[in-house]
Amino acid sequence: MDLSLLHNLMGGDQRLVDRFVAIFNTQVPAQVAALPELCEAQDWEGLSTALHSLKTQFNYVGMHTLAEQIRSLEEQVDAGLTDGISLPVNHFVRDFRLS
Amino acid sequence: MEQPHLLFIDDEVQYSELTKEYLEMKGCRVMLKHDGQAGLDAFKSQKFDLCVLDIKMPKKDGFTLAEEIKQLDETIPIIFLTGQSLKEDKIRGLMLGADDYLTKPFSMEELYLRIRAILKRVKVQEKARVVAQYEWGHSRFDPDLRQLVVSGETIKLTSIEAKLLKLFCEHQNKVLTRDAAMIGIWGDEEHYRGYSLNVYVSKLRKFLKAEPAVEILNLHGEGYKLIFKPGAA
Repeated sequence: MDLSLLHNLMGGDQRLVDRFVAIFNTQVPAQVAALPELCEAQDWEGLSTALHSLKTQFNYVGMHTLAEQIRSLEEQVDAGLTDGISLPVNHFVRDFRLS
Repeated sequence: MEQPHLLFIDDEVQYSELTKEYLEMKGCRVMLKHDGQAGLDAFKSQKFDLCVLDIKMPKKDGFTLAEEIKQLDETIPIIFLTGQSLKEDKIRGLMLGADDYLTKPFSMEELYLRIRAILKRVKVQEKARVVAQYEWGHSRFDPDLRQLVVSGETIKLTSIEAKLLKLFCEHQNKVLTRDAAMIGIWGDEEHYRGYSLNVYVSKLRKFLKAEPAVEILNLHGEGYKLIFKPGAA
């Protein structure tokens, strides 16, 4: 994590930064874990919304490689290229767990 | 403006909750919703000074929401939050009457400063727009004095009658929806107020009966329209 951007965006308020990181650590793993289920349910709108939300959150904490992966996935889903999307989604979930 | 009331709609729960907290620390009153439909419901239920809308949201996207909000109140300032710096998004937002946009990730301080700047601008515009009194044919209405003069007869209006007539004047020859009227008068659109609204409209019609240049029309399912007919005076 690189919290310099978040620090800057939050006007240097360390309390807000700490709270964001705490919420991120609690909620984001669950949101990432839910992505394969959305693929399985073929809920493409839900998948796109979830990816969109995650993308910004990863950018906030400076995890740009993962954010870039999400951006690419979101673009594919929005373009209707959902055949076989579960494979790169699972790759992303794996990469996130290893990060 | 002492404590601006903001409607903030963003599906990104974590950052928006903290942004709400930041804006509240700066003295704003903030209602936060996480999807477009909940945002629209909130807008219909209370009076706000400004809306901050994310574009990509569940249930109703920010563009659709902005269109529906502008139908209810065309003067409400809107700031869009765009996920990407897409030119098309910015153009579409501005075409819908957005006052500003911020690209995510955005700085809380920058959002606050833009909100403040817009509200300051709106206040100046409102001051410039203030009309001392409205005139139709041989009649005139002074909202500050709550005084209506029709064919030489002076009628002292109650606070609610004056508020309603002022709303009609501000929407002259345009639709004034029932929701907008109720929010404008009472600050909410509780359905039990519908009957009271009808009563006040009837009273205004009665007061203006002797003035042929002005008429309040019923628009079924929409609301009302105050029509000014200069030639009829």
